[in-house]
Amino acid sequence: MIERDEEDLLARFAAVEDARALSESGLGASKARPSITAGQLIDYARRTDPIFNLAIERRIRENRSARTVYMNALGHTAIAGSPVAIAASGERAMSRMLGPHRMECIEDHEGLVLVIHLAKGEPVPSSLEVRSADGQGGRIALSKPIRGVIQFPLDRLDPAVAAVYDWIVNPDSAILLFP
Amino acid sequence: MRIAVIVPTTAGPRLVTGIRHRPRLPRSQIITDTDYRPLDDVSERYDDFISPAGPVRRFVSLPQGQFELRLDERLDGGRSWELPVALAHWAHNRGDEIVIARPERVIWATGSLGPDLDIRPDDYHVKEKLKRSMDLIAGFGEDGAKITLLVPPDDGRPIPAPEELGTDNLYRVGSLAEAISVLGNDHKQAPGQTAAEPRRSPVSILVLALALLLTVMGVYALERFGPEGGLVGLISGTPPKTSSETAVDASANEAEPMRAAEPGQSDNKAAQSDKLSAKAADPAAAEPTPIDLRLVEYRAPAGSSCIHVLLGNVAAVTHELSQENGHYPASERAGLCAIGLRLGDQSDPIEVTLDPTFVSALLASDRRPVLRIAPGAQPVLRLIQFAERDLDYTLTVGPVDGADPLRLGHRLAW
Repeated sequence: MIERDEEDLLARFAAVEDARALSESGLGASKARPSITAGQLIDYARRTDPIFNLAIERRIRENRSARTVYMNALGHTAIAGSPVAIAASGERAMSRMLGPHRMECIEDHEGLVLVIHLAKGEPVPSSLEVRSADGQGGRIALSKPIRGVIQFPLDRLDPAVAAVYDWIVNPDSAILLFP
Repeated sequence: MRIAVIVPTTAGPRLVTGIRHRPRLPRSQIITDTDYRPLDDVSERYDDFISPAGPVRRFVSLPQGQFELRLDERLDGGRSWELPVALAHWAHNRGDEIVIARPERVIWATGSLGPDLDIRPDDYHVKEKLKRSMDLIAGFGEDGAKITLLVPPDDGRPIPAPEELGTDNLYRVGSLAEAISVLGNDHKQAPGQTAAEPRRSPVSILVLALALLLTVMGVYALERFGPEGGLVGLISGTPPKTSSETAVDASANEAEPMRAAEPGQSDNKAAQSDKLSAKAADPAAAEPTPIDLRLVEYRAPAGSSCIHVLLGNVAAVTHELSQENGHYPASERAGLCAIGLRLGDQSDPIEVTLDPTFVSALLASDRRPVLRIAPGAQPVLRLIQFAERDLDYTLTVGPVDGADPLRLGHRLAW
């Protein structure tokens, strides 16, 4: 159920999208981008498969209203998360709590490894999303836990990981876990 | 040595592409070159398999901390990967390089391991796995690699003949220790031997041959050294044989005559029953090769401490000691983090009984009264760091084949 504040937000978002579409229609159909509805943003937030939709991702990054709708929907869907990390300015946030779970990034001679120590009795997440304040980031599938620990190397060269690599240790990024 | 390790599956062979020691990770894991996520189920089993409480880590004397094993493709479950993975760790721990191209040696093995590291009875689909691996094996063979195939004990199920496999270096092994023993020896294949021949255990032949040899040695020792002499130091070191070595290349085994105890000497040749008999008949050749047990000092590097070494944060500086006349050179206790035990050119596993005073100087998790050391293994015993007192202790090796135990002394001095 969408709360009243969100209804207002969605209404304003729809109005902004309509205005944008009208203003672009005079430029010719070939230059008009397909409009992204609030429903699409919400569905994208609720996706179970960490697919990457280029059009929606672009809108999230370019449009503050879209970003706000999306982040609100994420908050309703996530099972745990952390809006920001506690870290000194300019420092990397190598450890933070995601609800009851503890996430850390361990760096050794082989590279960076993402580790999530799962709290006992809590639902096991299957994916993780990182979002910076300006909408950068993405979602990645998590591995199954090994005796209560989810861990995998963050290989910058892996396309699935590349979207989150630069933001995972950014203290200003929101990190959320999904079922 | 460049070694390729094949993990056979019914879906095709998998190659170990690397082993990485990652002590800071909370869990060991298996990953593939094609997915950033560790393999489900298999990773958890691997974490248990290689854990500090597991038998493999101690047997192969792995360092502390977690490991990341890499495969070229995923496994589909089951446990037959355990033997080849244990052998990959053994090779890696020895300093061999795990490769997937131009190896000098190829290890193909299958079998799951029980708590005592014996191969569990099961249907391992050996014939099917061998057939699916043949192209890969043939390719390595064409590059000049030495191929060694290790299969579980004979369960009556047929396996391909050597001409189908392109190699007759196929051995049946019943445990990880046997597999390491096969790999640790420089085997020479008997001409005309086929994989279909029943793999007879050589134990009975070996026992009889050694009994005859020791009898002759005893006579020779009495004649030469008198009643006060004896067999101390004259310890036979004949390697355990798989049944593939019931006959060997005669020219390769006209080995050096067995001499009285000289440090560093080893009997690493595949001596067979007829050869043993021939040597036993010649008193001049009847002296056995002594046990060559080396101590390895593990010290903290300059600027660090044993705490960091023991936690796996820094690598220890090692130094090997050889015994002379029953004593090792004294070790300075300060900065000494651990003592490792390693066989020299020894091809038989040995048992070493630890002096109780030495055992009391070890970390609780390393306190064992007896160690069984296989060729290629190196158990490491970590020392309590704050017990500032000199320590004189004795390592008792054997008894081996009825000979008196060998007592070796060592001093840790402040």
